[in-house]
Amino acid sequence: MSHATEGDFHAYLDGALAAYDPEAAERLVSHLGRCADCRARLEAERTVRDRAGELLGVALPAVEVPAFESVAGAAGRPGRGGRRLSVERFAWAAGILVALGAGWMGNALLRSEPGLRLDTVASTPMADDAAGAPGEELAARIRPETPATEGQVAAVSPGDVAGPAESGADDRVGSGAVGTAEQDANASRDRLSTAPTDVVAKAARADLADPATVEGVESLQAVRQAAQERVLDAPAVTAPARELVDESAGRFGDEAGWVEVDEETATLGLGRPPLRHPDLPVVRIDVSDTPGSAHVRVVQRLPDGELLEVLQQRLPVGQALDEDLKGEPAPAVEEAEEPQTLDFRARRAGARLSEIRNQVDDIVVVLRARLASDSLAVLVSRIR
Amino acid sequence: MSVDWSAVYTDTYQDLHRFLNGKVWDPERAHDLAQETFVRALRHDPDNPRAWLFSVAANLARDEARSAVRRKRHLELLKNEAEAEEVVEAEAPARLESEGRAERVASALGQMSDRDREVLLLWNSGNSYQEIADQTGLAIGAIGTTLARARRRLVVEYEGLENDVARNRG
Repeated sequence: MSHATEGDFHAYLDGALAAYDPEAAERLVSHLGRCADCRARLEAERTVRDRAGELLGVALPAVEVPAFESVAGAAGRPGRGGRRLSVERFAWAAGILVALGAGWMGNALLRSEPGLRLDTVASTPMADDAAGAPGEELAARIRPETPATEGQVAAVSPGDVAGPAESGADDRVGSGAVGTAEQDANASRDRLSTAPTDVVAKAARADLADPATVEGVESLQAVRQAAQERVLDAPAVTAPARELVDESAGRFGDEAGWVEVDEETATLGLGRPPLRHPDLPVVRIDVSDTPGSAHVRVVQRLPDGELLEVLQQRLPVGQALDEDLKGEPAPAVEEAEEPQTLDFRARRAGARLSEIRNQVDDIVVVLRARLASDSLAVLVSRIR
Repeated sequence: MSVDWSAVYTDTYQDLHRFLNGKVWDPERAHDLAQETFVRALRHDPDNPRAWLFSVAANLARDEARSAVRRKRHLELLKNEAEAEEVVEAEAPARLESEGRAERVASALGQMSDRDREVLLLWNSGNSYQEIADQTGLAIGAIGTTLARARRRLVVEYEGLENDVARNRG
């Protein structure tokens, strides 16, 4: 073989080369037997390796291990033992039971109400239940018809969904504060939801909203998949938001679709709390449903009721905005003046979506709204 | 698969603390983050505990670093006021020397690329090449090269800082 590399030496000294490539290890040993130069280099690398280990050992000494019970207690588990039972496994069953109960009550109500005929309300899930559909069929019906995503998506996120990084873009975990922004978002989502809000769906969402249902969700990808499965048929936003999204199709961050998530899940995907305009209420937070993508979108409401999209993605380490966004250089937002009022005239005139790009730390941000570009430039300067 | 979390905790806590301490350079904060990581793990119950723990720990440490930057900015604003009331603690020379070494190691690590530092800290925390590759997305064949580069950089930077200290004393 040719002379060994430093990497070969370190893998050999660490005992890893023999583990992942035994033949390479044998070749290296054989070569070292013949090559005095490589033997000398090996010893030099050994010195470096040992010295580095010594420095790290001094700087990062071992510590005492606190009692496991303190951690287990904080996690709400007994000190020893295996898994908890997953509430999620029973969530649908609970929903079905509630549905059957509600259906039975509804059936009785309808039969006792002479002014109503069963066939006039048969298109609603409630009426289906009331008509006495079997439990399994009910479950199949409830699932796609469960309308908005807030309960179900939240069910796989709060607090516990700090899963391992994945998606190839250094996804990070954060315990981002939600606070009033999330409350606003929840309130807005409630207002936005145009889907039926029958008792059955509410009951199912309430069951799933238990944080314990995150059991088994291993990662952001699982969150995305779970959420995607559950919202396929759900009209989750009002017409303005849908128009905005439809018109945005094919642009930055819109490779496929979006899945509404809570703040912590978005933080997981982005590696930091999602950026936003601090003075605008958050309507919803989405992550891209494309595997491997780390796009996050925060939808906020402008003072006149229109929506503003704040699309964001972490830049690869060392990469600058201009490399990532070819042909569309960032505007000189630093020079934008703070206006007294934003210019909504362009939107009122039926303007198409405008967008503007910027970089905040290591995050590429794209602002998109039906606004004049100078207004967008002002808004983007406030994103943080 | 049932995970014996008590055993995982016993086997992994020190490694995780060492990894976190290498990122935040504050043993107490590293302790808090390690505990937080385990609390999340117990709630989440992942099937691959060690990989999960280090992944989450890395992310928590990253968030912590951002918070630390914000705190530092805030502290700098208060610096002048604080200096007026500052009481210089009489420290034992040995402790100062130990802290000085740790600071130089931290400073030397700070000179590396994020990726090199991550790989070095993961190795120093008892992770195998395969685990490091899984954690960082690097090819397993690249781990040795990365470690070689990181170790050399650590040693060179540290020795340079040591020489600076010696010159200043002289």
